[in-house]
Amino acid sequence: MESDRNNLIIEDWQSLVNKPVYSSNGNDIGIVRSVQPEFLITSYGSITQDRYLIPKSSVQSIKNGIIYINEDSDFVEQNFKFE
Amino acid sequence: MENKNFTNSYSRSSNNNGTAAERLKSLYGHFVAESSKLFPKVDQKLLLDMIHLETSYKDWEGSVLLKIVYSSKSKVDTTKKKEEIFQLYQKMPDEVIEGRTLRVKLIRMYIKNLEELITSDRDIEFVTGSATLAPSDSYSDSA
Repeated sequence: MESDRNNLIIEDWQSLVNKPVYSSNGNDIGIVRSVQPEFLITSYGSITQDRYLIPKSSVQSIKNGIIYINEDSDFVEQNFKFE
Repeated sequence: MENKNFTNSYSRSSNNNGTAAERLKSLYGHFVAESSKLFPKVDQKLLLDMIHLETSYKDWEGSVLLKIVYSSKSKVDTTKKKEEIFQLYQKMPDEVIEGRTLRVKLIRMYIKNLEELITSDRDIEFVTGSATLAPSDSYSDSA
């Protein structure tokens, strides 16, 4: 498995579950809750959760247990939020 | 004590590739991986709940709460999608996220029907939700 756009090779996507995700402009997008074949499903908030479908190809890097994606928070809000 | 020893030796001898627990976990891992390939657009938890209910309870009524997520790239007309779903299931969905997600509570929605729904509409990007043993009018996540 790999994140095509960034040539980032991730052997075990399942290991990203429970890891935090940050947008390119440094905003917290949420925590990875599950992994689908093409997406990471993240949720944000404790009571009414916002949920996002993050394409695996958006993962730019993983540093110190934090997943960084290519898109900024506005783009994420407009294109990845599904609930 | 003798019984316990017998059980343990039986467990070991029944499988040369590790303990029964390890083998079961491995089989489950293969099953989940395979189901993910067969239904890549369906939330694994929803899929596993539906399989469990459909195979364990022969009289299960197929009671599910579906959240149908459309691709943000294709700019779908959700009003049209609502009407299509109404035509198919006689239930009008709610719009959870404008232009992106519809939510609808259905009965008689089995895995085969879910497959038909997904294959009939290429705009569907992802389906999540929940399945329950008994039908309910509630719109909570637990259906």
